[in-house]
Amino acid sequence: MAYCVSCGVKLASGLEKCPLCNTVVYGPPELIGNSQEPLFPLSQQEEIIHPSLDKTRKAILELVITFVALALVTLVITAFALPTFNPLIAIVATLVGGAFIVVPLVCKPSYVKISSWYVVLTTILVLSIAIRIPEYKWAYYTLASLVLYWILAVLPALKGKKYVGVKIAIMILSVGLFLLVTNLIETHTLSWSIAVALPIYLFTMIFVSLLVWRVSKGKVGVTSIVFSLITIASWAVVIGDHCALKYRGKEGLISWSLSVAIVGSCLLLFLLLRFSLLRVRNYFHNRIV
Amino acid sequence: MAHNPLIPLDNSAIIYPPTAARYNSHTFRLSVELTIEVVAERLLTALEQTLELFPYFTVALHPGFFWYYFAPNTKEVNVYPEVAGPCRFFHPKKNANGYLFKVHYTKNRIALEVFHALSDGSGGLRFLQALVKEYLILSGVDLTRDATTGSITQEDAFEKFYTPLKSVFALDPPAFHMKRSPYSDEVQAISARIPISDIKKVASTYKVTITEYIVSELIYALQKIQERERSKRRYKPIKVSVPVNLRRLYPSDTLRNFTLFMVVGIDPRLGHYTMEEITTQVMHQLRSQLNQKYINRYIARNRSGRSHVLIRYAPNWIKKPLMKLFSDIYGDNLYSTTMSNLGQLELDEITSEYVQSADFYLSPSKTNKVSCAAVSVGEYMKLNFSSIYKEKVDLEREVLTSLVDKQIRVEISTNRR
Repeated sequence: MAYCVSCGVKLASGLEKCPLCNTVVYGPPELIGNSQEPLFPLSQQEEIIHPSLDKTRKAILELVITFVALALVTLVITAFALPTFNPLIAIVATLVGGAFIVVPLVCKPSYVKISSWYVVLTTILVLSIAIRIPEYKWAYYTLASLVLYWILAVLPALKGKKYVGVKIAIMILSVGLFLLVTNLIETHTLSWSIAVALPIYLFTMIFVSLLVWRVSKGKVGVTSIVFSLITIASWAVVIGDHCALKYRGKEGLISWSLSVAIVGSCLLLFLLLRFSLLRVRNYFHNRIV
Repeated sequence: MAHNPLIPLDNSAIIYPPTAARYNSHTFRLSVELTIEVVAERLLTALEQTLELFPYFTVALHPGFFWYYFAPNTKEVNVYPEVAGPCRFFHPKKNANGYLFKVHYTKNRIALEVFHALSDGSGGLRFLQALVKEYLILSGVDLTRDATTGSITQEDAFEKFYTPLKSVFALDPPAFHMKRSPYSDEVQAISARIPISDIKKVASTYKVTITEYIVSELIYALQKIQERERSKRRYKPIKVSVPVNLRRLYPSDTLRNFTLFMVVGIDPRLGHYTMEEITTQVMHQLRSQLNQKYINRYIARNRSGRSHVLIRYAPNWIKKPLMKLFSDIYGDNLYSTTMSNLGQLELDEITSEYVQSADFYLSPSKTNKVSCAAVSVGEYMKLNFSSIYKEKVDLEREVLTSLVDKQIRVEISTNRR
């Protein structure tokens, strides 16, 4: 049997390092010895039943279940007592509210899992409102927004490096689809989404993609990125103004966005000059060197 | 087997079923190492015959409308091969056919794990001693069986000795608890084998008993840990909970829970304590609390809580989560760790020839993380630490190296990998 040189304790046979300080036991095998009767065997010989929740979480879960059950019973009794009262939304709201508290208790602390659950629960609640009261249009907007939120905020966090391209494509397409869906909800046609939203969307996507490609290729300063984004935004606004004018059947190129067009033009000129001057300077610098 | 009627849980036990959860298994483990081989079939026969003498153990836990209760369990009892860690969670239905104890075995070891709602360390020890004796008889050793009357050994002693008193529900400040670190679902054990003569010698230099000395070492170690982990203005009292066997103070022979937890310690906010100061504090606090009048107050406090109208008539499904949330206020929050010493295992001359050593483990909790338990056989004491920490061993290291510094020979083994 060996001693730990750091702690001074004697180590039982078979221990190759001290459990108190992790100091490795150096010496011949006879010194370490063989473990005749281990403290506890290494292999599991029976099914292990470990509870998944600690005391506090279990308590909160039980309280939530208790109060949700009480609320549901109360709602059902009220529905029987008052025939005019439809408890559907109240029941769904109670269940969803309880689930909102329970999800972070029982789920692993993962942003994707918890966000996804919250999106699903909110969708269920809004869906119940939409079914119960179809004239509430805002419910449909909310449903579309929830799906868009999940695609833009949660999908990127999903694991899988090789699907980055697919994720980006889905994110880009989803924005366009969202615009189409909101148009459909509002007017039951694709009138302004094709005439106004689509050109802005296409313009923005193309030039932002170009910017992203340029940034991935070489050194682009933060100033240039910010100015480029402002320029793209300005021109997107101008295009939007022009398309809106055309959609409403009015005369003229643009109406209120003249100042934005001027700003956009100045920024574009500045960026072009900056880029050109840099290339000219580098050209002469290389020639001199 | 004799069938018991429905049995309400004793005053100490009612807290365990609702608060059992992950990292809070509320179990303890007693084991003996024999000089002869342990044969599973023979051990099972010995267990069945021991249960004839201890019918109180043949119960299962059921949740009633107001309180949990025990009901007779007629399912088959079994013995199980040893497992990778002590003090496992007891599922009321899935574990051990509903029984609240489990008997494990290895080549030479018989171990008993008990859910604390059923019995305490002394009760469990009596059962284990009877089981070992029965096993030795079946193995051909010349021993006489004890006759134990079931009814006497299952009284609720708290109910019997309860005196209505106007108790003061004073709330002590929360004690220091070690920092969080990754936890393990399997209890990590470090077992230290110490010659009694060595530790007795050191304890006598401080003029304290062995238990008082070990408690002092724990407090001293926790003081060092707190000084490392916290700034001075965030110091908290350091307390150790010491279960006291009330059978030594009251005339009761019950198998059920009959212990109270004495909380002793220091307040480092008043300054750094030396080992001598700590031992003096521990000795005076423990001895001053160990009298019937003082203990009657605590029995009255615990028992009167149960009689309160709101608590008595609240349904179990309300009581369960509230007990989980509020049990720590009067429980684990008030002390930093637990230290339980069962003392010298009393064995007759013939049995002691076949028993090499014994072990006692207490389950830790999520608040206190590490607990300490001790039992002695012959010339050696086993001081066992149970921890939920995956890797952190600060408390164990501080205590055991302190013992080594005082020329106490310490041999350790562990299930940590």
